[in-house]
Amino acid sequence: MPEVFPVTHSHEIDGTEFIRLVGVFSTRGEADVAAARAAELPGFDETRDGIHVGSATLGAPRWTEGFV
Amino acid sequence: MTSIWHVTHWRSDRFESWPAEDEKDLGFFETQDEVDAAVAAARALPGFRDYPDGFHIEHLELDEFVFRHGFSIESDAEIARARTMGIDRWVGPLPGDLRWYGVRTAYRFSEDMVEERVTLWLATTDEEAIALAEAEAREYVEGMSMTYLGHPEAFATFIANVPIKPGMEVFSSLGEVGLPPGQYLKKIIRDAESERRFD
Repeated sequence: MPEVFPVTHSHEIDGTEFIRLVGVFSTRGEADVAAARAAELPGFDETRDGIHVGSATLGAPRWTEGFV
Repeated sequence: MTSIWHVTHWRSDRFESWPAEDEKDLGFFETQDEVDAAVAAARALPGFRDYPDGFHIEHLELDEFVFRHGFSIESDAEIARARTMGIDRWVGPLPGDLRWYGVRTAYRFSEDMVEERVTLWLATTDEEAIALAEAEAREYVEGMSMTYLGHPEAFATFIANVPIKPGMEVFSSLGEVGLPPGQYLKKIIRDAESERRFD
């Protein structure tokens, strides 16, 4: 199964967490470029620490044990 | 472009709208069948089975940059502030949500006179906003001695589902013009002198 690289952003205000998916990219290089591009845009530029490049396997579900 | 699906689960005890109090990322999938299977499996699991309607499925293009205009921290702060008061208030757009678009269209009156207009529309995509604006543009020129020039440009504002407010940016267009600022202003933006000719 192919690997993909999601770029996410999260920040918190007054106890509310805001999570945004900036995009999902087919290579880590493209994901890094997108993360850098996001860092220059309104909103993201003030909360750069919240930008994260991750990785995921297409078709592989997470949380397969559920949650408590 | 390859389309993929993103599945999340939102636990919503107090607030129904985004952002969820406890958002879980269930993964990315290539087909609708994989999505259905993942959601069906999760629905049987501890935690998820208590919130069977909390699954959110988002369709997106691989390698697509979603938040190309950034986002509004002010909108987020408004949501957060409302929540501290127990109010569930949705103000920030997500892909697929309705948001305000400013669409610029241009018209030719005569050999050297062009009018530019920006009209506001509620739409979910640039294409949708442009279709609405172009329908209005055709109505605008009907029976008048001017022509619609085409080449519409759409601008998605940061804020959806709220009334437009003073100070909100409704149109912005960024591009290389290949001219120094003085010449650009002279060529593209009509100066006060020529503006008066409209009166």
